[in-house]
Amino acid sequence: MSKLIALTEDERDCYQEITNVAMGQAADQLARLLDVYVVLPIPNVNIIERNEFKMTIKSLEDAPSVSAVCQGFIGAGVAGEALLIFNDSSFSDISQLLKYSQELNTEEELEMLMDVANVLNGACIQGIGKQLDINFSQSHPIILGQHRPISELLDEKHVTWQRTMAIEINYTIEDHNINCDLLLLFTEESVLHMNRLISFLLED
Amino acid sequence: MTDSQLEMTEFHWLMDILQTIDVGLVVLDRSYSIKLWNGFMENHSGIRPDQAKGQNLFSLFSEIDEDWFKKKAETVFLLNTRAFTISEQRPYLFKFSNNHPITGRADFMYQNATIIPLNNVDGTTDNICLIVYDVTNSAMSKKDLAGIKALLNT
Repeated sequence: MSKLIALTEDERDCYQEITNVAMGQAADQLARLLDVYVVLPIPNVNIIERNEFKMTIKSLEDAPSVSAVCQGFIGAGVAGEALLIFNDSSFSDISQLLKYSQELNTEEELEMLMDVANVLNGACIQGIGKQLDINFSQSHPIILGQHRPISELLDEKHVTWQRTMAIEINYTIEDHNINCDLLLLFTEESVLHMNRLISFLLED
Repeated sequence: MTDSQLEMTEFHWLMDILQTIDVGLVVLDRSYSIKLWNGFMENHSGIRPDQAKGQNLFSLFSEIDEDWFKKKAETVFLLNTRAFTISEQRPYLFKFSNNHPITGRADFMYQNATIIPLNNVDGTTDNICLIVYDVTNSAMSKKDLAGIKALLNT
């Protein structure tokens, strides 16, 4: 049994700050790509138990159907996944922004989902890596589901972990009905390792 | 840019590509000492290139069956041909954890591997390159499919 992970108040603040910087960079890139103003909330850092996980993602989006893409990242003792959950009602607005044709078929929607996920995940993961001096490997993105109720995204029977650190970031775009959630999930061993890394930042 | 500058730039590109590519690359010599260890191997194993270089592959990774691997690799050294292992035959060569630790269902990374000869100038082979692919996704889908087929047949 591995040691149960927990965060002190300082550590939580530190992760929040690191994420803040990283998501700022991601939002900046998205703003340049789309020429819009991206609203940034304060990221939410939490340790969640496996049985709370479904509830956590449910609480992020109350939409009847969502689409989700996840991408694994690993480097220097830190491993995790970036999960982008996209409210399905945002599709028409984002297709306008990305200048896709009005009526999207399934492939085009997927294409768009991947484009947005790529910008948000990529920039955010690299941003965090840069601050912690880690060069992350990123795996191919995987579609967890398109147009499905959020409870169907995850196969709970096969969950192998006990606790995870989740950083939630809710991106919205001004004047548009666009709402998506980026969830950065870190494994337990990674959190222990990252706590050591950030202890240098917290020293003074 | 002069030709030599261009060559240097290209060399840097190649090094970047080797480091970043989502495929494991390991160069081994005749005694199975590690000569090259790329970013994929570093990140997934947690062993830095400077720790890996010069180490014996089998002492570093006890999960690799030495006799089995040598049998495969010796043909590469001798015959100058490629050798392959697939995940159906052996689920993994290196026991790495699944690339999707949170949403993934596999307990480890399924791997395919290719061993290619690296020739000397005179055509003999003193080094081999081990190429490791992450095939967890397709391996899991295949397993699911086999499970469903079995259900249908009962």
